[in-house]
Formats: sequence, structure tokens, C-alpha cells
Amino acid sequence: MSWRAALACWGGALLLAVAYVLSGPAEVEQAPLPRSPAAVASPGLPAYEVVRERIAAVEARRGDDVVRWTPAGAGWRIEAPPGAAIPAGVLDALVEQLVDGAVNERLDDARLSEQELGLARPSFTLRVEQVDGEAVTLVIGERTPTATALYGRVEETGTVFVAGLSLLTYADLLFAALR
Amino acid sequence: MATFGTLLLLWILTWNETGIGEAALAWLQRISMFDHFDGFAAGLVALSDVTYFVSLIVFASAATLAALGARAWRRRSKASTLVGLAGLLAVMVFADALANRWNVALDFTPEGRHGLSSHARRLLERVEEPVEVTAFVRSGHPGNRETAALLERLREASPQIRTRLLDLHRHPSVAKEYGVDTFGAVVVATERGRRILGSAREAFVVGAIRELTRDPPVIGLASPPRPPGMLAGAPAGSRRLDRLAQALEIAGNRVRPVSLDGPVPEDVDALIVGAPDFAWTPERIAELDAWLGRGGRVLALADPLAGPDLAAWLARHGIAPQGDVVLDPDNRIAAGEAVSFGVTAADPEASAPPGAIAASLDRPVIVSRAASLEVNDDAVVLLETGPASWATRDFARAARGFAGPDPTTDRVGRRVIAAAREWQPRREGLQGAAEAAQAVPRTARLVVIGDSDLASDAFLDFLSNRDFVENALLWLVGEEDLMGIRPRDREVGRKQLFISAGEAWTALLLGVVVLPGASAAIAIALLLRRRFAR
Repeated sequence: MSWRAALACWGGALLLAVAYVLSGPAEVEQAPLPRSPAAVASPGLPAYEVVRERIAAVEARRGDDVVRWTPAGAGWRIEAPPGAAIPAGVLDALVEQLVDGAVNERLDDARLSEQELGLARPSFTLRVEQVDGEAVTLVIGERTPTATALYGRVEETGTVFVAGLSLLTYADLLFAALR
Repeated sequence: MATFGTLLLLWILTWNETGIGEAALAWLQRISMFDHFDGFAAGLVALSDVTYFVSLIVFASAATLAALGARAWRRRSKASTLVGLAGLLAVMVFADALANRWNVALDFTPEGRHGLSSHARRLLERVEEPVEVTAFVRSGHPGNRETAALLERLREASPQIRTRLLDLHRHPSVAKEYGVDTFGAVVVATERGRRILGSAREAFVVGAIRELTRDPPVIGLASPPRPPGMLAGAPAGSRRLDRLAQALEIAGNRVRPVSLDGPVPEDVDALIVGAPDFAWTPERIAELDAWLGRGGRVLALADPLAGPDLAAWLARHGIAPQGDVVLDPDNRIAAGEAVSFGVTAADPEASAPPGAIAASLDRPVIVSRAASLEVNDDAVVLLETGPASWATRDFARAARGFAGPDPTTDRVGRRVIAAAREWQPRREGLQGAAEAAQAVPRTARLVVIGDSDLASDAFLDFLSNRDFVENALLWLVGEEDLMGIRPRDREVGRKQLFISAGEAWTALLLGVVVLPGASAAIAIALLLRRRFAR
């Protein structure tokens, strides 16, 4: 095979590669319903970013109950309510959920109603303050129809997401420890 | 050897699919020759498969040319050839990716098997009220493409059908309204009500549409009393009719057990009799007779084990099971029992019912230990065996296999396996004009099959068995306009393969004699040519 032929092969490959990139993914999701069209899912994109080493404080709020804790060495120090006896494992698990794997899927659709996702009257909120002064506030709403996940929203960006049910499990344990 | 090894590897790459992870399997299927060939074997020509084979042929040809020229390679041309072949591989990869992304498939099967089934098309063409079909999926799931394709076919089949494909997570209120809580669920809704289905399968969706756009026929199953939820009997094992009952429910019928210890309920549209564990008594026969006299519709599974009472009653109504067992050496299943064979329509050209019950089938019906039937002149023969078949009452000899007929006792020649009859019942005790005036408004219909195995759990999904039984019931309930072929749970040629003894013999002859013989003849011809050319 001559160099010219070899070049032609690579040229063909390049053309096909460009065609592949430009054609975009074949979208099968349809939205014939005018009242609530489906949008493109972005399961691979993070809804927010929280790095454990940069956490300055975490605050969980459900109704009048507020729990606030800050890093202290390898563990946590509970600032509010004073003297609360919350197992360190629960705090650890909740933070792990925030840092790693809480978000299953982003729902980039502004037309999703807060009411139907339960975000108008949230189940609880989680606020993570970071050492650089930035904060991430997660508003957690109702369970999804499959009852295996939760709807949530990042207050600062408005991004709506679906999070794992473990978040609710550990939040329940956290607030139960106050009783 | 390397070429042979590579091609063999590409062919068998995914054969041990259970031993490979799901992700790895998806990639291996992309390069597996067997998986790309599968569609062609099933009559489906897909762009992705064509691209795969064209790419493979082009690459193999280029590699062959390069290998042939390798002896003359100089260092420079060796490098350019390797670079060129790598480029060709890259072309293959991107062509495959594009073809998979924008894949289109053409269905070349005579019945359009990869589109909607003929039964579904007939039903949907006759839908006269709005139907909404909503599928709840998860964005990005590979199965969405298939679901979307099914919805598109439904829309194309009827202007009355609206479809929606919704992401369950994005439509919680719609899901809540319909009571849907699983991915993959499908809701079929009309003004009469709605049905939630577990998955987007044609049979489920079409059955639900039938149930919600017509008055669902009630099929009675003559069976002894049993716990709620169980329709057919436990003691009969693989000869139970549970799967039949389930298939009928999916197809949009209501199925209910009928004990025949009292009158057949008025709402029953057709009655199936002949379940293997049902004990016939004179009283039950009398109830059945009374119902048929009122314009009842009966499907009788009258195999040799059904008992003399039922056979005698059927004989009185013009279709008489002979209490024998039929063997058909030409159509017996290769490597199967001698008493199991395929049987086809007596009149394959019949377009009107009841002949169309069998004529609309695309495959034989598999029966086992079937009895032959003698029929009145006004009965329509549905299924008939081949000319070499014979029937005997010597069950032990029949079961031995490979036994020939005894001309003194056995009947040789085509035997009737299934027949149908329709007549106008008369009210008893009336004569002449008065009788005609008092005729029962509905005709009585009877379908008799000399076998119950074909409808049993073990046999129902084989070839055209389910279509035959369901078509017979459609005629009985007066919905003959829906007769046709339905999607099969076990696709023929992939998940079930039957060849008759005759076909097996032809294949053996081709493989062992004709092909090697032809090769040998060509070799000898070449040898002689060379010798004489010198």
C-alpha cells in the first residue's frame, strides 16, 4: 500500500469521526405532551461539588430542628444543638452521601414544577459551607415515583437532581437522635 | 491458520454470554460475526449488520492484498501498508459507530414479523375510539429505542392511537395519576378505563387495547374447583393449561373456571373442554349439551385420554374422535417421539372462517398423541396430516417409534386432526314453521382438536400452537376479523427449532453426500484437466 493510499484511509476515518461527533447522540426521548415535555437527561454531570477536605461546616434543617457540625480532627464537633448526642457514624455517613454518590441524575428542565417534586415544602435541607467561603445548599423533596430515590435542588444554581434514598435514611437517623 | 482462527473467534465470541459481564458483552456483540449474522437469519437486514460485513470484507481484502505483496515489500512500503491498514481499521470503527447510531432495519419476512403482527394490525385498524398509550422509561436506557419503535408502529397502525414516551423521574405527577411506580411500565387508557402493563411488549399492549375498546370475551375453562387464582389443575404437570389461560388474559379475554356442575354461566362466550384432569360425568355432559343447544360455543381438546363420554358427545354433534393415535412419519419431529409431529392447514387457501383459523398460520401446529377425527359433511376440516400418516389403537406399538402400520387393523392415509362445525340449534318439541320461528338466535359453534397437548404448558409456545388455539377461540366468540399471527415469546429459528424427519433426512443428504460429492467432483475435474493439459 502506498503512502497516498494510507493517507486516504486515515482521511476517510477522520471524515467519519467528524460525522460521528457532529451527528450527536440519537435521541429517542419524545415529548408529545405539551404540558410536560421531557428534556435531555444528564446523568453524567455533577449537580454540585463538595470536597470533604474543604468542608468548614454542615447544617441540616428539618422544620424547627437544626443540626450543625464542623470538622474536628478526624471526626466532627456538634455546634448545634449544644450537647446533642448524635453518633459520629451518622454524621460521617451523611457527609459521605453528600460527597460521594448522592446524586444519581441531573434533571435539567426548568419546567419541572417544584410542587410536584415536593421542593416547595422540602423534607429537609442540607447546607455545606466550604473553607473558601462558598456554600452549597441542597433542598430535598419527595421520593421519586419508584420510591427508590429523592428529588433535590441546589439552592444556589437551581439545578434539580435525583439523589439516592440513603440520604433520607441518614437524615432520619440524624433528626431521630435529637429526640 | 491465523485468518481461520480470527474468523472462528469472531464467530464464537459471544457464545458463552452468561460468563461475560454485561458491559463487556455489549462490546463483544459489536464485533461478533454471529450476532451480526443473526438478523439476516431472522429476515431482518439492518444497516449496522451490513456495515459490519462490508467493513470486514474490505479490510480482509486489503489485508490479503497486502499479504500477497509482502514478499516484495521494501521497508518503506511495509510502514505505509501498516499505517494504511490501521487507517482502514479506524474507518471500520467509525463506520460501525455511525451505523449503530443511525441504524435502520428492513423487514424482509413475508409476514412482516419484525413490525406489528398481523393480529395486532387487524385489531388496531378497527379501533374506533381514542386510545392513549404512555410508556414510562428512564432516559438513556438502551431499551428505550425498542419501546419508541413499538409506540411508533402503534401510531402508524391507527389514527386513533396517541402515544407518549415519558421519563418517569421527570413526570412524577403523571406517574402518580396513573399509579405507575416502575421504569418500563406502560399505561393504556381509553374512556372505558386503563390498564397498567409491566413492560412494553406488543402482546401486552395490543391485548390491553382489545380489552379497552371491545367488550372482552369471557372464556370458560371446564376444570374442577380449585383455589382462587388457579385456573387449571395441578396434578397434570406439563399438560396443565395455565399458560393458555394466561395468554388468553394477556390477549384481552376474561378467563374463568367453569365446573359444569350447574348450568354454564350466561356471560361465558366460549368454553374450553378437555383439560386433562377434568372428570366427565353424564350430568356434566348434559349441562354442556344444554349450553350448546342454547347457541353455545365449544372448543374441545379431545385427545385419546379425554375419555369416552366426551368423545361420544362430540360424535353426536358431527365430529367424532376415534380413540386412536395418529403417526405421521414424514412430519414427525426429527429426534422426537414418533407420536409428536407437525400438522398443517387442510386448506391453506381458505380465506373465510372457520377454514381461515388454520389457513392464517405461518407454521405447522405441533401435536402429540393426537386422535384422528371423523367428521360430518357439513364440518370444515382445519388440520390434516400428510399422506403417509396412519392411525392405530395399539398405543404400545405407536409409542415404540419407527413401527409401521398394520394394514389389517390400522387406517393409513391423511387423518383429520382438527375440525369445526356451525349449525343453528332448534328449540326442542317444536316442528316446521313454528320451529323455524323459535330457532335460537345464536348459532352453535364447535371446534374439536384431537389433542390436548398442543394447548398445554409444554407445547403452547411451539410454532403456531398458540395462534391456532387463539384463532379458534376468536371464531367461536365471533371476532374472526382478528384472526392472524401473534408475536411469539420464543422466536422460531432462534429460541425454538423444529425440523421434520423428512427435512432432517434432506439436510443429512446435502451435508454428507451432495456437498462432499460436489467438492470431490470438482477436484477430480481439476486433476484431470491438469493431467491432460500437460
